[in-house]
Amino acid sequence: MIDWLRDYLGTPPDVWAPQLTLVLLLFFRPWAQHSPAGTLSSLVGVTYGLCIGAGLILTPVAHEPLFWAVLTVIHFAWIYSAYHLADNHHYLEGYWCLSLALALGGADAGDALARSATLLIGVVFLLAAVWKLASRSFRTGAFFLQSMLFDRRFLPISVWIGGLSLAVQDEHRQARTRAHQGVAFAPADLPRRLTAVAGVLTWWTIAIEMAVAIVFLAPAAFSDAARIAVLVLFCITTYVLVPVPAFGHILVLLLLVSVPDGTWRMWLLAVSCLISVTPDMLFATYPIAKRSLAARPAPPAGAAPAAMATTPH
Amino acid sequence: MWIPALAAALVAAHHRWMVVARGQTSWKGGGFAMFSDATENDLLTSITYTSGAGSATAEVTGVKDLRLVAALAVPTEKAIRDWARHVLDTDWFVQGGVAMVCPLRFAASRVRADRVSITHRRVCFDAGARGYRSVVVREMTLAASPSGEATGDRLAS
Repeated sequence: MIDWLRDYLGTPPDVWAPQLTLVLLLFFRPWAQHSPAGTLSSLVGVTYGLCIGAGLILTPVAHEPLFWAVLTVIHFAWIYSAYHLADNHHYLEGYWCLSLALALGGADAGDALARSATLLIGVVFLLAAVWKLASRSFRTGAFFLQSMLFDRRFLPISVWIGGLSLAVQDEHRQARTRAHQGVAFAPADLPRRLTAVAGVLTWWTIAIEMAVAIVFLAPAAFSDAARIAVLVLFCITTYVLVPVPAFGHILVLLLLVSVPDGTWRMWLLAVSCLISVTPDMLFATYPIAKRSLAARPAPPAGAAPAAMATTPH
Repeated sequence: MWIPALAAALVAAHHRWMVVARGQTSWKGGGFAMFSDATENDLLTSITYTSGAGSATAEVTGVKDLRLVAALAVPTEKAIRDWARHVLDTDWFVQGGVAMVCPLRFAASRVRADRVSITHRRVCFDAGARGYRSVVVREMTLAASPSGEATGDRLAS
């Protein structure tokens, strides 16, 4: 079985990438996020499902550029109809469908797919890194501080590494509520440790995303091993913290296509499987982290300054 | 090979324009700016209705309507107005100053809004100042008149 898989993945990407893409789209069903009955989204969703079914059953159809052109149109029609809900990985899936439509009609489809996948990863990560650098609330660490305080997915790292206590979380919850109710500025202090962890997360994220962008946008300057190492490092350090399996899988699929070696592709498939099970493992830690948070003693009233960063005003 | 990447860059440029010019959330729109901004759009919605005891006000809560989702993602005047009109066309169940979409079992107690007031506010954690900043962007009031004309729409500076 493993030998067969290695041989299969050792063939040019135009042989297996269309089927693998269809499996990915069927698994995550982007249209399922928004397709209320009687709307354009619903019609698009039904057509989308039928197309994917046809492509999986009739293998030659999945290798036709016209099939992928139609799927690209359907995919972006759904994004248009669900603009307020569609996530960024849905756009990436659409660009990849477009890549398949353009490459499968050309002379060296495998090579064109590999170059397109490499370029797409590079552009996506460059955009992600640039927006983060341009965002003041990201650069100052506010984004990660707010996420660590309120986003359930960040609870394990907030509690076990950041030292978050229930008292601090409550203080912030009340301050945020006051701000939502109209108070122009509602102060809330932060433990130094939490601020430090947010700072590390902030600059690590920018560094790793910029590194991915560089190694994929200048592929001639870096080896396959370097590209794999950097993107896998991103996946491990990101998806261990925040499970976003749909984004992880499309990234790993693009990486699979961009590397020329069957053995590397086998390993990347294993990474993809790991990304599939990570959310379940992470979800299991949330109640434990919540219990740790509840059990953590609150700092005695008036004794907070030793553990808190100073308020500048 | 480069056409999909170019398309991604063009969509990202459009996304940036939407974020800067229309106040769109950076999470949506294909710019790959997810996980980059802590700012939250908030639409505080309250209705004024007439009950047996006279005129009363209630805060709308717990609604998952797509018009609200759209207005939160891209809070343009049109999107907020669409949401306001929907609020005026909806049956509400009011309890303790809070208005929820009226479930069938409470149909006898349903109320319709005479007027809806919406405050679009942006809330963001300011790490430097260590606190939450709240800025009012727009305030809109819509009456349930046949024409549905806005009685007040103020864009905050």
